[in-house]
Amino acid sequence: MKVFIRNISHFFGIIFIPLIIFSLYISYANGKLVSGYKIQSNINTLVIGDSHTQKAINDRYFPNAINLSQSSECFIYSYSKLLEILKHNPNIKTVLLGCSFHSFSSYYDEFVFGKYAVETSARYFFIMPQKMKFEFFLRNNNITGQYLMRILSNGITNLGVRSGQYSFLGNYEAYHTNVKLSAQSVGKRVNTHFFQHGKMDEFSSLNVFYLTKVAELCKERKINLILLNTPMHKYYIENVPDKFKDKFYSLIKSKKLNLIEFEKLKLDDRCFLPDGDHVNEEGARLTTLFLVNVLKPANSAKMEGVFE
Amino acid sequence: MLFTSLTFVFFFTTVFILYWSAFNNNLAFQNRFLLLCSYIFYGWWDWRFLVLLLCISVANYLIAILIQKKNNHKPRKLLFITGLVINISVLFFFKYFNFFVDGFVNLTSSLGFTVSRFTPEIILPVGISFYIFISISYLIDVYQHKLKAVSNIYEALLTFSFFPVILAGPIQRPISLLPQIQNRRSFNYKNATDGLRQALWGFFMKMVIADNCVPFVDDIFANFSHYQGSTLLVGVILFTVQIYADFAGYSNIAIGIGKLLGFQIMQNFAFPYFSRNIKEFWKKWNISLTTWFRDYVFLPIAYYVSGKIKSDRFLLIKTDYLIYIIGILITWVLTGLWHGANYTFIFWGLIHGFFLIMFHLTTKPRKRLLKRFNMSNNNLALIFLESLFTLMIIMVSWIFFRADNVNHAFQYILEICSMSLFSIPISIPNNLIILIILFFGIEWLGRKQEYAIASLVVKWPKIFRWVFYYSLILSIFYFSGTEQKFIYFQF
Repeated sequence: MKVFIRNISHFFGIIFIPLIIFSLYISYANGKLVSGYKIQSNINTLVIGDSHTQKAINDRYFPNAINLSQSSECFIYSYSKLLEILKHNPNIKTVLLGCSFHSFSSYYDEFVFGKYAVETSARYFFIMPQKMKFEFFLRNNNITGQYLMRILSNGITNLGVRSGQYSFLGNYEAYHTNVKLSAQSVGKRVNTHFFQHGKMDEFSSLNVFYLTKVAELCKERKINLILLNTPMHKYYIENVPDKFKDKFYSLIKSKKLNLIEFEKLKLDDRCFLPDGDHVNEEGARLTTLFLVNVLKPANSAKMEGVFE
Repeated sequence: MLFTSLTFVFFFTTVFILYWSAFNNNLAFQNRFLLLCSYIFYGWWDWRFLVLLLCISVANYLIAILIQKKNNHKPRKLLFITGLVINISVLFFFKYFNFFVDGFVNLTSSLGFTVSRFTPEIILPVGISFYIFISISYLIDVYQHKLKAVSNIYEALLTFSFFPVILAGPIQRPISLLPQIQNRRSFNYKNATDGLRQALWGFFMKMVIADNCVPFVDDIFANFSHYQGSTLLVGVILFTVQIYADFAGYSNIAIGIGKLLGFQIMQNFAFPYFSRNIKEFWKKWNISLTTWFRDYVFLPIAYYVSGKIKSDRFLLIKTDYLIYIIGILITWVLTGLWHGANYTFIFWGLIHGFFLIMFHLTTKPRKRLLKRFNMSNNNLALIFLESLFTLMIIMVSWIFFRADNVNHAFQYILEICSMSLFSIPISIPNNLIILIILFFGIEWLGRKQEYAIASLVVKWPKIFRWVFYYSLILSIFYFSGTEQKFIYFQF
């Protein structure tokens, strides 16, 4: 028994002790990296959110703005990201946050404490407040091994990055495919967003909570927060369950948040990706130009679809 | 508590150290400690399930003692039937009540009667099918004088709730588990390292292979009507890999943990996808369940039917064949039902039953055919074709097993059989494909062993052996998917 314990200790010690030391170093170095992250001083508008804003807002057409959106970014991550960025970048005056019907579906919780959490939350680990880091470990304890490896892998990659594209940030991403949009492909997407095993999803209380936190943070720092419900194909909008549409509008109204919708921007089918809730490169160009126009001081006062 | 969770790692490390140190010198203490650990492990899911487990275990313990005490046949039989009824009723209530109520309501409404539907929300206790089957085999063996009823309640309770096997098997029958519980176990270095190696392979199978297939399988089966035949074929191939890696992986972990505690748990999988025919497949797949059904369902039915039919032929069918057909059909409907209260499982069972019957009926003609064409049974092309055909049958049956309902399964198969089979399927990550090929390569190399790496690396120099183990551990950490539960927990 003693020999067994000794051999097992040697076996695991060889691999785990260096791993722990290395992890501590990675954590320390990434902490430094986060606190040193600076956005160019001429940038005053920050676009964050999930793949909707990531694919719809091309900051090349948007003067003084930077798009740091990333796919599957729930509001808990947007909040943590914003907390760090605003701390070190006082030049940011406006935050455009992607928010759509699917943002309030419990499907999104899977990216925080569910089956997609490993991949997604590991990206944001280094910008999470300490308390949240522990909570993530505790609540994702069934996947701790993979979680640690993903964090480590992201941490190592972050240290090697020179262009500022850290795992917790994002950027505009153009996506092109020859596959055409169809009612079926959109239907599949709606199904993923709002249904599980044939049952309609619940609301995501986590996302509602962190949207409120984002709003409070922006208010506290006197930053103009505007939500963007980026263009979606009519098939998609028609199939979104009313429950989620009602929740979306009632929440925005009750929290008195600004919202920009893109109903007036009539995009044809060629501007959408097959899933119907993302736009392609051309769609992004048109969406961004539309948004820039809406945000011009002369127009913003008479913006339609904006609750204030 | 899942085997793959950090909680379990801490739990088992503590159990292992205390078990072999503090309780090592006293068998009674060791068993009581194991019983306590088993209840903690099981109660971790839901303490209410633990109450049910405890009640069933005590009931079976008492009934078995009473059966043992009675000398007359009639009271023995009465007690035995009472025990069976209790076990089957519990299983029926928790697993099949709603299924049969729905079936009854549908039947009556199709006949023009209106019956109000009363389907209470019943939570299925995890592992119920497994511990009920262990209990039933205990009662049968005691009734048939194959096993002496155990008088020590701790030993009995531990037999029904031994934590490595309680959730998803192997169905370790008391006839082989009880003697191990009753006899002193001493730490054996070779067994312990072998157990650790087997558990490591099991973790790799489950966390790297099975769990990485899950997102694709779930998506394809959930949205099968949106996909083309080629993608659906990919979906069923991945499910074929997933279910094996998941369940055999779980069994390897369970057996490995058993070995670390000084127990020998029966082998549950013997590389079933390398089978040449369906009969061979079922000798190698979920062995503990198939042998259970063989011994407690098929053989008694065959014995009963053969006693009833005295002539050589019945309804123009040879009696031997008829006995086999009746036995197989009943056994496979029940095997299907055991997996879940859904027609898909019954269909799945019937498919296997049908092909087993076909195999049985064609054994002699096949031999004659081979002789006529002067072909050896070991002809490589023949082995390959037969193995491929067997794998195809298995894959078709898995469609029924995985589909939400029978209609979906047929639609799924029809789409695979359409021209869209020749379209380009969705892309699967290269690393998953490489991992699957690597996995089956290792399985093929180790197919003569109890598990794939049982002796594959044992003779390597220590440094290479450790590098191999480290690679497995790191790949578990790095590549493992995000699915958590084991498929067979639902049964």
